[in-house]
Amino acid sequence: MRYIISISFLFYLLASVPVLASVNVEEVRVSNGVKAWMIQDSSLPIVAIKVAFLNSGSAYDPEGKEGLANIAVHMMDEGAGDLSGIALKNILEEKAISFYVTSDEDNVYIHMKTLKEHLGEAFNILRLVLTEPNFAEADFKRVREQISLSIEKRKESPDFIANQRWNQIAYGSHPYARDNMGSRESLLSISKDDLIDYMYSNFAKDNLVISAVGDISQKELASYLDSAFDSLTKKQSVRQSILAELKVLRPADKQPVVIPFDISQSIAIFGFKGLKRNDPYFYPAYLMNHILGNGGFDSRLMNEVREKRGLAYSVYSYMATFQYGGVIKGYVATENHRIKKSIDIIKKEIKKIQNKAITQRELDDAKNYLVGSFPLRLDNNASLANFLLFMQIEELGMDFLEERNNLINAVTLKQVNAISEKLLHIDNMITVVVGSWPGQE
Amino acid sequence: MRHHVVTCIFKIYTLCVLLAVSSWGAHADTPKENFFTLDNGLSVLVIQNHKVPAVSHTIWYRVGGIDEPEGKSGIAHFLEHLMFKGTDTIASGQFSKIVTKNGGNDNAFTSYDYTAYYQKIASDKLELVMKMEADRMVNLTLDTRDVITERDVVLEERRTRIDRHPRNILLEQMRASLFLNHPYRRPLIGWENDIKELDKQDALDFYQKHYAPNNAILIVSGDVSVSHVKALAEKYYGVIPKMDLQPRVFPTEPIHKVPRRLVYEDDKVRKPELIKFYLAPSMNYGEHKHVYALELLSRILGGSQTSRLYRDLVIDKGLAANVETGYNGVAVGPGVFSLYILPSEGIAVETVELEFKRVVEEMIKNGIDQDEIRRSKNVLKSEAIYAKDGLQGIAHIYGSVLVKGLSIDYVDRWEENIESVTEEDLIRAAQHVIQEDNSSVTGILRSPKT
Repeated sequence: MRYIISISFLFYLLASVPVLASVNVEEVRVSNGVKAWMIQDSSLPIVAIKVAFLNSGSAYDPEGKEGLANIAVHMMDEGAGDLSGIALKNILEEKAISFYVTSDEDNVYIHMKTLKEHLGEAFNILRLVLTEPNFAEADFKRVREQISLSIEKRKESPDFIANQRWNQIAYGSHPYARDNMGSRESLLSISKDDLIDYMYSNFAKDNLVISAVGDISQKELASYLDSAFDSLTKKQSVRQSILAELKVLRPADKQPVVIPFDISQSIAIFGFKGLKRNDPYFYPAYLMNHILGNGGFDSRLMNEVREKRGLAYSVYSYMATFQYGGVIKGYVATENHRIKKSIDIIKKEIKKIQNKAITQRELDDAKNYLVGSFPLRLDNNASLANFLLFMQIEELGMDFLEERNNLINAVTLKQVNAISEKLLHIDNMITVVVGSWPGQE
Repeated sequence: MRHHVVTCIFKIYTLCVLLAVSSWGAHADTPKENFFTLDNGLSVLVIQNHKVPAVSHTIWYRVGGIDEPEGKSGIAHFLEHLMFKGTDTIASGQFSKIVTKNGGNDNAFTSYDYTAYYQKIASDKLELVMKMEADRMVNLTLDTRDVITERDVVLEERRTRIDRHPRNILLEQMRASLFLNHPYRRPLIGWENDIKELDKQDALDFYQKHYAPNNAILIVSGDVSVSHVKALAEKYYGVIPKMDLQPRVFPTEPIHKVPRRLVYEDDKVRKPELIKFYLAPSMNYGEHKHVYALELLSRILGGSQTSRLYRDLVIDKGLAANVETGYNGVAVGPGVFSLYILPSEGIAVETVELEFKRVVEEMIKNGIDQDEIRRSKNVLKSEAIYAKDGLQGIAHIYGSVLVKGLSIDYVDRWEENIESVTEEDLIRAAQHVIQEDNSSVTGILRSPKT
């Protein structure tokens, strides 16, 4: 779960204002309809490539087969064409190609990094993996066992337990509430045929998004797009249902949900309904959250909970956005007998912000940080490629790297106050505590 | 924020072994004019990278957990937190706020061997952060109440990092058991009872003893020129007088006579795990000729899904869900070779332990395929190439090497040294470190119910 969150989260951290002097985003289109966005940068002989297949993530897993997308992506480097899993991984090592596949609620992502001299081999492997996966029985069984064990091991983590429960409470029956790994039982009901079916119905040209950054020309990329993706089917299968819009539920009562756990430090996840990425109030909300709890020492939660009172090592809030909804979520970890105090202080701060407490000075400082720190987050090919991918998924436009500054700077205090007033109703805050709580031992 | 150096590497879930895993460098010939020393003894390295109009400015102090006085475990890390408080000219708590207001990020990390502070910021703000960093090298002021509050933060950090995770509790105990004499035996964050007693005077004593220009290395990487960095460094760091420093001398390990075995049972553990630590040489300790071979050996044995242990235990026999080995040979004190195994459902820890020993014995007896060696060399070398992409990657490699008393040559010649490792070297290193297990600790993590 941690990873899934970090995908959307990461993108939002990244989405914070461009002043990249010499960056030129180009679109490459080939005759089979496949296109990609790229930035050519020959300062090092390496290339980062990112591929996404939209609306194929864990929220789309069929009922009873939860965990399908996750196990499918873990099977993708387990052999293709004539290559066994080991043979494929040996080639990747020999050529120093980094290749791995991940999934989140909404999408599947392929991450590649290669030396320029092995670009051909990298795209060839990508083609094989997408079109001729092996899914050998022995590998499938092993990966299924590995994931089953991971499902058990995750339950050792109070952070995971808290997050999972928070999602269940907030998302109710929406598929976003499900565990991306599924359960031991649901994994056992997934067959090799399900994997094949999953891949052929989901990996298509019309839900494909690609980006590349590094030592590669438009012409080179075009030829690889032609060869690697040509045999994909045209359209994602219509059997993929579209999800319902996410309705974040209200908590049953004002007390936190407490899950007893034998630890000296309790952890709490708290949060609210948020916004989708394309909401007109996204930027005001983004600044609001930055001021509330970006995790740095310039945030209110850090100041009140950690700096002034020493109640926690980490305390923060973040915005997570999905294709069909969004949330604002926060985290704190405090010694058991002081956890209630931490939550009380957090609530007080949230109430203040909801009540227009953010000052013009705070807003200006936040803008300065978000504008100035943008290039720091894009200082390597992989981050830039991620960002280009995200720009396409969210349909932000090719000039977004330049536009981002203006969008942040245009936010007014009035807008921030308006969205704070709307989103941060304390009665809507869902809180889950793992550890202990006064009166509930 | 403000963290230790820990390395997390697993595909399906994560183990942080509290050890740096690989100490790769990069093939490069650092121009001599980029590396210079000021009159007061501060070493400066400039690494140019013009990809984005930004810089990373990092100061590395040759002081860390191993330099702590007895009974003051955690003081190096505690002081690192307190360095963000204030100076004569910067009000308490303002350091990071000034950096962020200027669009920068800052943080710090404490290790056994060093403490480092960095800022990443637009190139034209280099002077601002350098002025502030130089200022807090000598002008730190601490308010007693701030110190007490921050001590609570560190205690919470200890709960977050160690107490909440059964595996980390075991790792801490294993470390204390592996080193019989060397200060590496102490937890970096400190024992809880020690942290609770640390006060303002302890922090100031440690600060005044170790923070000085001749005990530091400055590394600036990014969109800058050497002459500009040199001028700024002279202006801000150059005026700080050098200090008389005590030589860094540490106790060595006696001959270990008994392998140790620790079993930690915790209700929260759902599936058992096996962890092993072997005392090993490092570039500064013991037979350092084995270091490059050990770096390669940890790749070949358990560095990836094509490694010997993974293929044997996970893929062929299905006895484990995951296997990893790691080695840290760039250290002021001894190195550690580590092993982690997560057995498959229903498989005993003792079974995978025996299998591990068998795989190592077979490797020693039957040798290692040339292809296997070449592939592992390739992977190590490619990691070094990718590390050049980004503002901090290569700068951090140089910093962490130089601060441990090694020369720039270690990084610049690293690739050829790795290349020259032979099958024989690998076997000898395995015999030297793994076969002889008196200087090892085996840790077993499990639930009391199993």
